[in-house]
Amino acid sequence: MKNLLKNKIGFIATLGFAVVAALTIASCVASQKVANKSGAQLWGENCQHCHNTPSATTFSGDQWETIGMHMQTRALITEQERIKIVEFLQQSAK
Amino acid sequence: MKTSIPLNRKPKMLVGFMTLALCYLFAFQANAQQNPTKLDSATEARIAALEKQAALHRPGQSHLMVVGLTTFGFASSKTTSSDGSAPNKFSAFGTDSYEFSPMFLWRQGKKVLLEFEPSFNNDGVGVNWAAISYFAKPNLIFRGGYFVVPFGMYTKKLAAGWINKVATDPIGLPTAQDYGFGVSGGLPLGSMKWNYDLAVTNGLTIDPAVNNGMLTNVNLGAAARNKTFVGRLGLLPFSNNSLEIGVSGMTGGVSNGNTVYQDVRADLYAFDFNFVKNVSPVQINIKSQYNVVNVGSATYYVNPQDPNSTSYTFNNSSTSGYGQFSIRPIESQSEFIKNLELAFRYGQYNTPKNSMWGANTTQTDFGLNYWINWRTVLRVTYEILDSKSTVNQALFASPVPDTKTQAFHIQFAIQL
Repeated sequence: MKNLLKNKIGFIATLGFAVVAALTIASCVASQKVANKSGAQLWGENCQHCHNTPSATTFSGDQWETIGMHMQTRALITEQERIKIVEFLQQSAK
Repeated sequence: MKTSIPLNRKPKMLVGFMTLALCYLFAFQANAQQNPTKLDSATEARIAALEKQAALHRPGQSHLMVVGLTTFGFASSKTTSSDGSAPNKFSAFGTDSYEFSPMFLWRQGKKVLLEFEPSFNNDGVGVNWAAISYFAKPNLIFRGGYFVVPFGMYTKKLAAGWINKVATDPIGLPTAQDYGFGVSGGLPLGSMKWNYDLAVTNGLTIDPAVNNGMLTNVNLGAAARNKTFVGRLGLLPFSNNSLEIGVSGMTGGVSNGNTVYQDVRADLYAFDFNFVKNVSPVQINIKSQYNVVNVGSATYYVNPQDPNSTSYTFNNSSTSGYGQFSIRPIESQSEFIKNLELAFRYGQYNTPKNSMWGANTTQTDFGLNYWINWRTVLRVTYEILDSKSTVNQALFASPVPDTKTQAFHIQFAIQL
């Protein structure tokens, strides 16, 4: 009986957490001001959070694509930020 | 008989002649466009060769590149001890200042990334991480393999030699890498941003051979039964991304199949703070992390291998933390001054009182860095490590003295 009650509480808690998490994630949208940021601005803001802002000419366009994915796993920038930063670096590298 | 054209008819003939010439020119151009000029065989061969060469360099789905880092330097230190023994002097190239770590990034399309970083440092040859990430959704990444445990900010984001502001790591960082599986991602939240990094790993254990209550990684231990749940949530409350605060938790049993520690759990917490902002004319950089490690009670033996030797117990709780401040005059007119950076770090590490390894240690660092370019730094660090023993001296045959170490580091670090 005790175990059953424990399981029920555990199940309700897990379900509650999942619902809250799903609602939180679903409501995650950027404000207009954030959505309108340029790649250059995002490059300046996000990179210097941990290290100096990289020079665009350091790597080729293909390499920036790969490094962008690596930095997304490391710094947990959003996908939109990664796409804009990589595009900015690829264009500036030309 | 000589005929002559009247003067008034000459312009009309000229116009007619020019019209004919233009018609011929347009007809020729149109013909040239329909039937391009035939090239000679040498030019055709050259074009074919160039097309073949271009095809060879066409980017494919798979892309492999090598980046990485290296640091090298010189360290000189002097350790004095409260037991009155002669000071221990040490100086060497390498020590805390050597690392050569090429990192292989292997991308398959835009969904899969393999990251592998072998490393040669003062611990020998090892692996920093070897993991595969799958970019399932815009802000959802699955990761598996051997990776940096998502606990706190320093180990995952700031530990690289070319990123760190002083020559050494902060003391008392409780976690590093582990085998496991995880999910992570970053998401917008209006004008703010947040990120999550969660994982299940093989976790931590107490080595029964050492049996002193210290946590070590299970790694690939055959009896790895307890899994550890670990995660960090980060929030960037300002739209300019200048501040990030993070909270981390980690929990799991430590027995690893050893009945002696069957019900013993380890619960770890961490709080981190990262603020970087350009405040004209300088860049201000403040970083901090505080860690708490609580391990359940267990009985230990003075001679770990002999359960008949004197037993003892202690409150197995450790705390550690650091605060770091650095400043760089990024708007200076002088190129030399602009590349200078001053850094200060203070850290504390308190290990369990009355344990074999009990001590209250402080770490104070003063640093001066010169940035040769964005990813290359030459740094000088002066460090003081002050350790006061809290070992239960009555229990152990060899008393543990208080120590003070003063060290001077010169270090060169580059990201490749």
